[in-house]
This record gives sequence, C-alpha cells and structure tokens, in this order.
Amino acid sequence: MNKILIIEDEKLIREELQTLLSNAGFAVAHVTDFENTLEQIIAESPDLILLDISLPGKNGYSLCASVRRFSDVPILFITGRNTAMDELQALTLGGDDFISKPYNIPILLARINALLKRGQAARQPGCLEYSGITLHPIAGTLAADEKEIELTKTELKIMYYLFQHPGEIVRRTDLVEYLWDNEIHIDDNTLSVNIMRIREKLGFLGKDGLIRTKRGMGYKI
Amino acid sequence: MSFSGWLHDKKAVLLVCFAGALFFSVLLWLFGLEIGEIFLLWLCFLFIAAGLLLWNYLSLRRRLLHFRAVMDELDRKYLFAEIMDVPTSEWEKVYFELMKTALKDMTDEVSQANRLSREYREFIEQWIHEMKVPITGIQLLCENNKSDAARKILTQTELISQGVERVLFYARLGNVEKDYLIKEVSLRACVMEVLAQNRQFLIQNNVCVHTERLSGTVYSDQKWLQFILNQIIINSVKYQSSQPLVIDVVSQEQENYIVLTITDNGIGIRESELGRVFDKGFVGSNGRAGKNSTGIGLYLCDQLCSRLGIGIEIKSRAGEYTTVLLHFPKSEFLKV
Repeated sequence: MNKILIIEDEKLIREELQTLLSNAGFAVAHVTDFENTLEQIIAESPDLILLDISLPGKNGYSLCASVRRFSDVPILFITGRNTAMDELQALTLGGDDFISKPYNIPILLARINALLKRGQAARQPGCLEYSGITLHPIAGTLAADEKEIELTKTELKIMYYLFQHPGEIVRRTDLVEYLWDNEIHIDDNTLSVNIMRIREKLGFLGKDGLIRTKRGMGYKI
Repeated sequence: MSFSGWLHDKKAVLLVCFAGALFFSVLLWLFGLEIGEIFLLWLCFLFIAAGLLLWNYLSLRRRLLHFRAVMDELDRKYLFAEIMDVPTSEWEKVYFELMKTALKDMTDEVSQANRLSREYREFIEQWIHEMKVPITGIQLLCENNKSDAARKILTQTELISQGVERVLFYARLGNVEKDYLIKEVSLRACVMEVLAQNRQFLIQNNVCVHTERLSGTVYSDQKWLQFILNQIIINSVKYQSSQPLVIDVVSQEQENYIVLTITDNGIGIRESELGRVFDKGFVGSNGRAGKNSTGIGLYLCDQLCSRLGIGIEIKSRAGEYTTVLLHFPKSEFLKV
C-alpha cells in the first residue's frame, strides 16, 4: 500500500483528504506541527507528498527545495494560487505536478495514481466472473456457455462496475458518476438505452435476467 | 497656427499702429511735408512693420511646432510639462507654471487611481484564494459523505466555484501577458478536465457529451484555455432547449489551424444578434428570457482568445444549434 503524506494547514481539508485517500486505498499520514516539517517527512518516509504552498512558517516552495536535497519522493503541489508564476516555481523547485484548488476529486486521484505509476490497467484483473458469466475487461467481451459477445466501451464500463458490486443495488447516479470519471459523459436516458442493449446481448447468451431493475433505486446483478 | 489667425489675434496692435501712422502723417502734412514724401515714409513704415510682424510670426510658429513635435513623441502625454525646456518669455513662464500645476495634479490623481485599482485587484485575488479553501472543504465533505443532498450541494458548489473563477479571470484580464505559460496542451486532456470540474453540475442537468473525435495538441496556456472551454460549456447548459442536451466536442486539423468545435443542440442565437454576442454586457433575447445572463462570459472568452492568439467564432441557428469554433494556429517551428 502506498503511503501519502499530507502537508496542509487547513484542518478540515486535511481531515477530509485523509478520509478520501484512505477510502481510495492509500495509507495516509499528515503533518500537524509545521515547525519541524522536515523531520516528520524523514520519519514518515512517504511514497508521495501532497504539499500546500501557503503554510505557517516555511512555505511550500522552500520545503520542496529542502526535501529535494535528500529525497526524490514525488511531490504534488496543491494550492489555491494558480498563476503561471506559481506553477513555474513549483515545477522548477522540483515539484512533480501542480493542481489548484478547488480541485476535482477524480482529477486529484488520477494525478496521484499517475505519479505513483499505478495505472488503471494494472489494477484491472484479467477477468471477472459472476453466476456463470465471465467479463473480459481487456478483450471487451462477455462470455457464457461457450458463447461470446462483444461490448462497446460504455457497455463494458457499466458491466465492469456492476460486476464489481455483485449482489448490491447500484444506484443510477453512482453508475453515471463512475462513467463520467472514466471519460464517458452520458446522461441518465443514455444509460437506460445502454442497459437495454446490454440486456439484449445477455439475452443472446441466455442470461437475460441477470440485470434486475430496482424501481426508484437502481440496478442489481 | 495659421497666419490669418495670428493676424486676427494681433488686430488691436495693428489697429493702434495704423491709427498712429495716420495721425502722424496728418500732423506732418500740416507741418507742410509733400504728399510724395509722406508716401515714402508710409512705404518705409509698412516695410518695417511687415518685417517685424513676419519675424514675430515665424519665431512663434517655430516654437509651437517644437512643442507639437515634443508632444507627438511623448508616450505619456500628461508628462509634457516635465519634458519641456523652461521658457524665457514672461507670459510663457506663467502659462508654463499653470500647465505644470495642472498636469502635476492630474498625474497625482492618475497614480492614485492606479494604486487604488491595483490594490483592489490584489484584494480580489487574495479574497478569491481565501474563498477556495472553504469551497474545497465543501467538495471534499460532499465527496466523503455521498447522498442525494450532498450531490445537490456539490452542484451548487460547482456553480459557486465557476462564479469565483470568473471573477478571478476578470480581475486578471488586464495583465494576461504576465500570467501565462505556453506549452503543448492536449485538447482531449483539457476538455476532460473541464468536464470533470463540472461533473455534478452536468450530470444533474442530464448532459451528454461526445468526445470520441477529439485528439491532438495545441500550444497554449492550459489554465486560460480551460477557462474559455468552461464558459462555452456553461453557456450550452444555460441555454439548453427542452430536449436533452447533447454537446459534441470535435477537433479537426486544417492546413494552418487546429479547429476545436463545440456544438450543442440548445436554443441557439438569433441571426440578428449573432454579431454582438462577444460585446461586453450584451444579453440578447435569450438572456432577457430569464436565463440569468450577465453578458460577461463570451466577452471574457473573446478577450482571452485575442490575447492568446486563438480565433473564436460562433455559428448558430435559432432553435437548432450553437457551434463555437476555436482556431488554434499551427506553428511547425514550435515542434521540438
């Protein structure tokens, strides 16, 4: 598990970031005492540092420069300031990336993952299986009883999300949000159309009852 | 200054001269001088008077032309009195003093106004950066506590964030040239980020965005470009028709340009108003129909585009569609 160190002086943001990142599967530590930040960084030895620029005491730029003297740990600057000068300074002092507040959470996670070189593909298992149906995310196919069908990109993402939550009711809003986070920007109606097509394809596999609609709630497999 | 105008100014002096000459010629005639001799005296007098007047006129003209030349070369005209050489004639000295006092007062006034507007802009920027902390806090809180209410709060927060961002860019508009970082920007990544920033707002508005035919890179400033795209997409949502909103984002390579087109199926813009949509404060019939327009969004886009060297163009048919085209110049020599 990768360890992320949060250096941020706003208490609420620090705590919420901590919750968010631990939910996303990271080990999270934070700095509370801004007097001896460097010692704490050395003690924690994180895999990635989220660094705010305006801090009490030493600011983020000089902190970054000091860290670079002994470590190559990826540093992601998070700041409310977003002028070209800030960005340039952050990058020339050895920061690896720069993201400005208010940041969008999927973007933040994507940048963190990019810095940790944990690509999406690496996390995707070879195939998922549920009640006799196999989903091959890489080939983009569904297979059951020796029969195989191709899925479009959108259909694949929908099935992938459903297969990851077997037995749970998946809310339509969650599904749409998941798709938006994966660069498929569709609305509620288009989702219904896609579900309909998936059902047709499942019918071809002889599994048309797989996706059940829970009225007013969402879908369940 | 024309000669006749100058003569007009001098008419009192001329009149006195001729009246005097006439008086003395009558006196001389009474003393018994011949008409011929008086005529000769007149001729001499006229010659001297004309010569003096001409010399007077020419030297004044030369001085005025010099003033004009100095003024024309000045970048800041109000510094004229500081630049001019100190005059020698008494009446000019008085004028010079008056002008100097007036211009000094004006310069003070201008620098005062400049300082106030700079301080105001700095305050606004500072304030916006302070605002971003609670906005980020709300976003994180909502993200960590997902519920229908949290989603709605998130939508509203995105709206606040858009508004705050707009103020920031308006405040910075005056010195864009000091605040950009031109690099190779992926159009796709740029659009994706804008969509992600407004995710809840767009989902709640049932928006469908097609980005399949979007690729390529341009040389621009990502932050400003995203701001422009943001304004365009928000407009699409604001002016959607009754049917579900579909936005098509397509990039095309042309001979000298990379063209990014953003097309929606919204209410469109009337042909008669199409020419004025980039004017500051122009609201139009769509805006007056209660869409909460300010007439600032597209004005900002246009201003930013001209500063970034991007061509912006709008095509539309009322009731059918609106297309915004962004032309990015292709420069081969930028490729390393």
